[in-house]
Amino acid sequence: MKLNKRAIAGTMTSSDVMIEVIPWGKTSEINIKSDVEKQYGDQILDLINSILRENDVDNVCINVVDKGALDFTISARLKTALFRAAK
Amino acid sequence: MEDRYDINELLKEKGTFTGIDKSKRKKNKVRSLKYVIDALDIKDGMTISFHHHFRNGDLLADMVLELLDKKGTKNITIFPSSLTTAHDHFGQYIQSGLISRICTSGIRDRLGEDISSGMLDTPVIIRSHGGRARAIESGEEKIDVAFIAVAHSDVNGNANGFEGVSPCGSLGYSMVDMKHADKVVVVSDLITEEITIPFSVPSYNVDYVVKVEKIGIKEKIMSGATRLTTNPKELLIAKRTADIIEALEIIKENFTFQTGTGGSSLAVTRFMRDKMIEKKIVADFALGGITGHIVRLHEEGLVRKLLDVQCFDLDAVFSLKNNIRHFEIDASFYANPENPGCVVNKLDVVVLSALEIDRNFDVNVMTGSDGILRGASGGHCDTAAGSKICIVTSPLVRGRIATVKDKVLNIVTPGSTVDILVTDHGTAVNPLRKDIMALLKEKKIPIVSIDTLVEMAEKIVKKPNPIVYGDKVVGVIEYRDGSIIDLVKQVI
Amino acid sequence: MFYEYTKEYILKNDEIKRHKSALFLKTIDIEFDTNVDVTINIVKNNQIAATISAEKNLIKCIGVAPDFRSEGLMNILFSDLISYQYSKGFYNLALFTKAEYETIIASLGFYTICKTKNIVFMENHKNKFRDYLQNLTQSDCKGKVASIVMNLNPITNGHLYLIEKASSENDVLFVFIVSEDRSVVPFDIRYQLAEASTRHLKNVILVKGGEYIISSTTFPSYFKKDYNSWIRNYCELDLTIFSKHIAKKLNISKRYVGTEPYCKVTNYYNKVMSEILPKYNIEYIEVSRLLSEDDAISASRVRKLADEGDFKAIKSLVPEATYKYLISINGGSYET
Repeated sequence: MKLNKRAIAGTMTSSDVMIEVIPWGKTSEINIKSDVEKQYGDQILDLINSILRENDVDNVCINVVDKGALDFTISARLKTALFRAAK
Repeated sequence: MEDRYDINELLKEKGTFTGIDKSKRKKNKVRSLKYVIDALDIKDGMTISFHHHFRNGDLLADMVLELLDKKGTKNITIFPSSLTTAHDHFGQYIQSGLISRICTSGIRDRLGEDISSGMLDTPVIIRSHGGRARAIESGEEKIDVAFIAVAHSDVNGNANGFEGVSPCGSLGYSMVDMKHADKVVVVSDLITEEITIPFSVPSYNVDYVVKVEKIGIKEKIMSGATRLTTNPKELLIAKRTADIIEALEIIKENFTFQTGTGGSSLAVTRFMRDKMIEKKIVADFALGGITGHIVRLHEEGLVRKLLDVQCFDLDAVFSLKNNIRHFEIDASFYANPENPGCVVNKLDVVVLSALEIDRNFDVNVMTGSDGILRGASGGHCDTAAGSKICIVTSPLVRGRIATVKDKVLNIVTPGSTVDILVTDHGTAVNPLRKDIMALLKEKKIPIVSIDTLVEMAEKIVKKPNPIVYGDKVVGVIEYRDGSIIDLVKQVI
Repeated sequence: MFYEYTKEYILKNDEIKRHKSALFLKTIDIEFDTNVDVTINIVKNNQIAATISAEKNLIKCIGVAPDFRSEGLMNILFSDLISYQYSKGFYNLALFTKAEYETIIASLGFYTICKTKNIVFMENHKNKFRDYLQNLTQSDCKGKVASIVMNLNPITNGHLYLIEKASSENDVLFVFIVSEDRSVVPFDIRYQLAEASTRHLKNVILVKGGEYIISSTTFPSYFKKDYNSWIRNYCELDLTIFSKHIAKKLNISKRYVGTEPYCKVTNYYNKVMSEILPKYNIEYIEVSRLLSEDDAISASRVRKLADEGDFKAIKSLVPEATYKYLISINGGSYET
């Protein structure tokens, strides 16, 4: 997936997640702020990385503000942000 | 004839009347806080107590500790009935060496994080309200000075919590302290010459009376009225719970109940009310933790008496002041297990919440899913033990945190006292209660096994990273009888 | 939740709704900042439950009515505002707030740039400040490194005097030009004029101040209830960012200022500066202003003369580039 601009998706309501996607010229960076950092921080990072791989996305900065979202929510928001960034 | 009746001996023993001057000044108890603290000579190894009826608006505890800290006092035990956001900066007093031991029901926010990280060398002793009363009355914990913040006091120390600028309502927790502490200091921003009637704290227990600028931050003490939840999940759980209470034939004339003060547990009262009206039932008393909603039931004639150990909103405070059968009770009468008449033993049903609950129906209301201290024991284990039926209400998961799990991180209330769990995904009954299971089955109330709920929760949130604990024990959770039910470990 | 509340978006031209917001904010002891471009309110039963506003990338005037606390309304408002400003091209948002709210705001995706006892300055991207510091200069800052912070609105001989003095006394001189564009002369012009006028000084590096050199006009007015503590808070915060981060990165050991005879705010700022800089091992150096006919040369004096069309008087007060510029924008021709 080729990204053309930065984009954002989601909200910071409880159980939701806000994800920003910024294509940039250097190696990918994922910044996560999560209400459940200790318990699920690793899993969230793994999930995001796998989605990026699936969609062939690199050289991107992903900023995540997670309010305890479940996997399918994170996945949906990330994909939406990616599609918006690819437009 | 015995010496006793020798009139000369009697005169010698008792002394003859030498005259009295009516105009001579009577003993004045009113002093400044600084004077009192100096006069009481609070030193190493002593225990001072507070109550938490002023909730997040409490100012007194900090005032006292600040003065003691400035004086250079070290190694005291603080023994509040609980700790709130108002006390979350107390880590600084631990670091300065002022506080070396803490006994409390609850611990939250930054202070909870500080304690969980191991800031305090000795473990915090966590007791329920009943357990605290037991410890005081049995002499296990000796209070050297009890500082009692009140809304209104007279110059002798007759005081209450429901008059004045920033009322807090019932002073239930402090009423135990004042009977047993060596010295009692009443503090208020409203001190009058005129006698305070009615009083909750009688002056004969009081050694000093102190006037301060402000006894509490009004907006943070309590809200005007507690809002009933509008969260559909919580309402669903509440309705189901009310249906179960009805199915178990608890709602009958003169029944008694207690509910929690928020979320599903409070909303249960809304659905119970409908049923009580429909069946024309009047309850004998409601116990708590009183909010405006329960007051309304009382004023509508649906509940005869209100037994109040703590007011949660101004509606409750107003009612305490004006309704004669809205009665202030102390923590011992409320829940001390060694007190044979303790009121929790008269409860037909109690509706509680939980941070976590596991396969054994053990409940955690003390530590969060990250292992950090962030709750309060409160009256949880007391009411669970005393009531005929104990119902815990909770959503199956909160965000990404499972409430129902394989094993709770810390036990506050043992599963043998918890009978029913009502969640938005199903109701489970403790296998120890075959009677409840049978009755619910008969009334066609659907039940699932607790194991089903545990698995359901795990499927939704997936398994979290295990918590990394340190070696230090930072908290000791006492059951209400004084035995140790669990230990809280340090979190790295 | 959704069926109970409505949301309203209020732009600058909606006077009535803005006024209502201002009244609401007053009930929670916050002053409405009339400079904000957009306000978002959550309304229940025709009453405002919570509000948030922004002026460009600065979030301001945040408040929740006491009865509606702990309901996640802030999360909704922040999410909405971030999305809205994003669509307007403001990707990076910042705010100043009371230090006690740092944790709450941090949970909404904000990172702390700098914190003083009372105020915390935060923004919603982790590396922006770090990148700013990184990009301040390519050169090595060796030896004696000094700094001056100025508006240069426009650059006068008074400014040049101070710059030349500092340049001669040190190995490297950073001149930070405040980029806040409330100045009469737009930033780009101010930079150009400064560049032209200091070209002869090889060790002078001009730096665009950016958002991290805070002018008193940026610092939220809603902290202004008590003027003295407002101004103290502002000065402390700005000077702490400068000393703790900017000066540290650039190895700055001195900061020069000209004496301030006119402006009360600047005077106070300098006083606070003289207290704070030494704490970070930065020398505070106050230099008397260059005089012309017994009057300190100041940019405001120059601007006033320009308004009056008195270019003859201006010529001796400013460098050539400034003189040419002032003439050109006032439609005249100039003598060489």
